[in-house]
Amino acid sequence: MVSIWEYANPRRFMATSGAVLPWVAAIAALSLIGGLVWGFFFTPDDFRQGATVKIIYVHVPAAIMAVNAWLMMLVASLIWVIRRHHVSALAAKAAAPVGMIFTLIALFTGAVWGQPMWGTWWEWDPRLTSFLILFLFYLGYMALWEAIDNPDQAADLTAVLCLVGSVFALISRYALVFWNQGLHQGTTVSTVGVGVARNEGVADVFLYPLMVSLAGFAFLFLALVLYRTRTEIRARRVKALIAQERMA
Amino acid sequence: MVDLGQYAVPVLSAYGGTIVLLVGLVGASVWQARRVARRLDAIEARRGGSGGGRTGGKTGGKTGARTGARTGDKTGDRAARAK
Repeated sequence: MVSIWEYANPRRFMATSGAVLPWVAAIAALSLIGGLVWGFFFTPDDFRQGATVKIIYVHVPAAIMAVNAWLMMLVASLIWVIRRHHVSALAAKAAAPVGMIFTLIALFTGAVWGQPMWGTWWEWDPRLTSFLILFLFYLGYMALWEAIDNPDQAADLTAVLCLVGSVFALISRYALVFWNQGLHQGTTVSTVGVGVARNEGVADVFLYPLMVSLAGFAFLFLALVLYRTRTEIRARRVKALIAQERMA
Repeated sequence: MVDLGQYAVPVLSAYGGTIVLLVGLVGASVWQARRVARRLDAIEARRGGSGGGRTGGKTGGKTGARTGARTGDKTGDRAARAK
């Protein structure tokens, strides 16, 4: 059994990620296209929301993965802080733009859905506001990486920022539980299951394409993080070689 | 074609915006990866080519291993030895 810490070795990471990346990317493309086509073309309108229900196939997966991306960055940052594995710091750095775009998609599609349904593009609702703050944290995190030349120092400081931002990532997910107010409805996907009345969850006709689309976003995130981490490792090597040339 | 009724504009703009953002993200990632790869190839070619290939490429590299040792950058060290 290979230990997960083996992948802290860039050589091992590059070999393994190079092998799995085409498969992950293919699964991401298939499930994402399949989920969106299924949701857009082959699902009925909702009796209250009409055709706007089709927006959930992009909005919900993007919002879930926006928070999950930050939590992945948190785990990677903690591994860096505790065990000083450079690949984990670079993986956190690689994930940030992906999470930022997912957050932007969630904010944009939410506003587009909210205008006809709520009668407003934006409301200072707990969940919407915490998502906006999460978006700003993503921008700040990326800016901090770019602002510091020393990579280890940048990894240290961004790890601290990631730790602080995790509070808002969790608030984004559980805002309605904490405050129980605002326009945004509560969670619906996770209410499907044992002990939940059928009329409280999402109907199967909407749920299945939503799950496929969610899988597509999750695999797309994984593929992009692997791909971008490989780029970051190469970029780190470029820096090391340039530094050596300057010292020579 | 799907009949979106009075909600055609919000639904199509939500899907359109999402696709543009995702394609932009993938495109930017590929562009950045190629730029870094070209730069790494150029540096290694300048150094004589015998020192090793791109990280993750087919050729190994001792050059970066020395770099890592000198600069104290463990990632540069390990990445340089990566195949």
